[in-house]
Amino acid sequence: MIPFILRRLIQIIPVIIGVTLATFLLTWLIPGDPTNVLLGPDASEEARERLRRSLGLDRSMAAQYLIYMSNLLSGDLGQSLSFSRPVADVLVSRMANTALLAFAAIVLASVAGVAAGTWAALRPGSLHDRGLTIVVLFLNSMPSFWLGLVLILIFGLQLRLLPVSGMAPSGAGLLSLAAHMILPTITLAAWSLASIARMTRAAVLEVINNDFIRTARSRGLSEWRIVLFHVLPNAIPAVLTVIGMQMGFLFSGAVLTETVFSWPGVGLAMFQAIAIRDIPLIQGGILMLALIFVLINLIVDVLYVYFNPKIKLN
Amino acid sequence: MQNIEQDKITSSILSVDSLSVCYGSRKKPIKVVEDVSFDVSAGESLGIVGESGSGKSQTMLAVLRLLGEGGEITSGNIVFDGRDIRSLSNHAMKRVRGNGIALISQDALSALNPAMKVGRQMAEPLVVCDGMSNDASRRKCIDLLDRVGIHGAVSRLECYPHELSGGMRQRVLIAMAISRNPKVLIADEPTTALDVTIQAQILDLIDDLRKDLGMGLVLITHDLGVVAGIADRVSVMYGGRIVETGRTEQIFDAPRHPYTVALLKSIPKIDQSKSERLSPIPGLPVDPRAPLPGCSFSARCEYTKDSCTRSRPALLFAAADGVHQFRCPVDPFGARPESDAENLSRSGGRG
Repeated sequence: MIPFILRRLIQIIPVIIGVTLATFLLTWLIPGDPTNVLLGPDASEEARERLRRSLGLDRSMAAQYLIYMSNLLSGDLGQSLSFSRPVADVLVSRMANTALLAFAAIVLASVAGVAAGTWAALRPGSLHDRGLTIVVLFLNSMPSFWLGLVLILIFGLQLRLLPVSGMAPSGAGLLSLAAHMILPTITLAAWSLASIARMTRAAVLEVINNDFIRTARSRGLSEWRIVLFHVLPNAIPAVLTVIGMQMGFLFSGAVLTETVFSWPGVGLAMFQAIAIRDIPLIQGGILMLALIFVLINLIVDVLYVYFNPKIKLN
Repeated sequence: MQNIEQDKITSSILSVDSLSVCYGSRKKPIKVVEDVSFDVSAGESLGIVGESGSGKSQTMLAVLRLLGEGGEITSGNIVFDGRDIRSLSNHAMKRVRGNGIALISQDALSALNPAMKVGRQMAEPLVVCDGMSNDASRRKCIDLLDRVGIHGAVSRLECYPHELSGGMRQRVLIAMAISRNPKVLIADEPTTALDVTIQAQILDLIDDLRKDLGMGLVLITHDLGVVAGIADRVSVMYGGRIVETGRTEQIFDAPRHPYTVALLKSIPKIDQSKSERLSPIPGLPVDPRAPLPGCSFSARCEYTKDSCTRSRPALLFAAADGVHQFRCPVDPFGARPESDAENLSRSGGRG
């Protein structure tokens, strides 16, 4: 298992290089002049030129990329233009908030999604199976910012049950934190929940018609035991792939949710960075999201081997 | 005659009486099993022979109440060990499965859970249903694997099904089936997925276990050769009905139904010359969605008369013992010359 993980870690390197190249080139494609942001529209051409030179913006594209990469390897992601702090500091300080939200969302989406999908698959064509299909379609076609706003409207403004914005002030306690998390978590989880439920339903339906399920029944095992120990372990690998992909989407998808709920995470910082062309922060943010995406996929692959013993590690 | 019937029912461990099974909606039911009756006593073996789609597997699934989605027992009685299977609660039915009646499926690879180690899979009902300790169940599994002829049982417990050979998987499935000392063992084509050499070993093993443990055995197969060596009695099924039933030697030596005769003729013989061709049965199996009004075999039978297509033939007695029965009013083989019978009997060796 360890060599397998190491091999997969090495395979990450070209992916990361590709991502840095892409993000680096992307910033050249974005119209607008960063000196405009830093010095304002009224600055003189001389002052702009000086700033460009001090930032290295007058060098060739290749030279800029090499500088960027060498800084990157020493852990320097550059200086955020909008926060006036190192990009790494900004991202790390906000990562915990984003991760908290993403993990809460993936746990909610996985548990509820697998449960709902299994429940529907056990009686295909029944009333609750069809009901689930409608709910899934609804959740899957709803943009998260719209769902977020509706939730704010209902639970925050009408019923006044839950806080609608920001994180709990420091020292306010776990309960307050949980209350602040409920609406963003639901908003973030909705789309993933629907996808996971749909995948689970299909996977369970496929497994449940297998002969070994009949064998298990013919041996007098109870129905819930068969679902838990025979159906789900065989359906989970397919679902895991979807959960892994959703996990990646949740980190990047948090941009919209965090913005709607003013959740102080990476997503909100990215939104602000894009609005004012804070290019180092955009690059650093994308790089970090890509890294998370790749690492999650690695974890999924490892779990895959665990759940499906037929996969040979070499 | 009435007394003999009565005796048979009281001594049999599993008896099925005019069972019918339908699939599909109530408005347009598809009958896959119609008016099937048979019984098995402890230690006795019954072969059920028929081609694909003849309803033989569905009959057995009905006995275990494990019919697929949309399947339903529409009439008939199933009595196991004095209990009426159809009226048992789900909970009581769970105790019958595995404990009273065990099933061996045909394809051992798909019949075993691919994601669970063999040992855990074998032990699961022992621990969960019989309350055995983990240690005791492990010892029992090792004994069982030894019993079915798997060497190095201890290491096999840690294997996944795909790590075993086909023959070994079938042995594991057999070990699982006998693990809770069932009174009836249903073997649904237990050898179709195996090499010919392994087939004979597996059949011998099943037969040995039947004798040692005194189980009633129902052996389902499409291969008359398979039942020849093992079964005490044979029922031949066609189109969801039993068309002929009798003691094995009666079926092989003096078949009365044209379908049974045709089946026997289609078995290749080792002493057959190359110029002599096998005689396949012309036509296709009957489609349960378009059932024939009369005899289900009438469309393919060379002895069909007008009356065959009009009404369902009743079971007729072929011999005075009341065991050999068949469903053919035409009865073209009723008074056969002696030489013909010898020819047919030679054809029945193990395939």
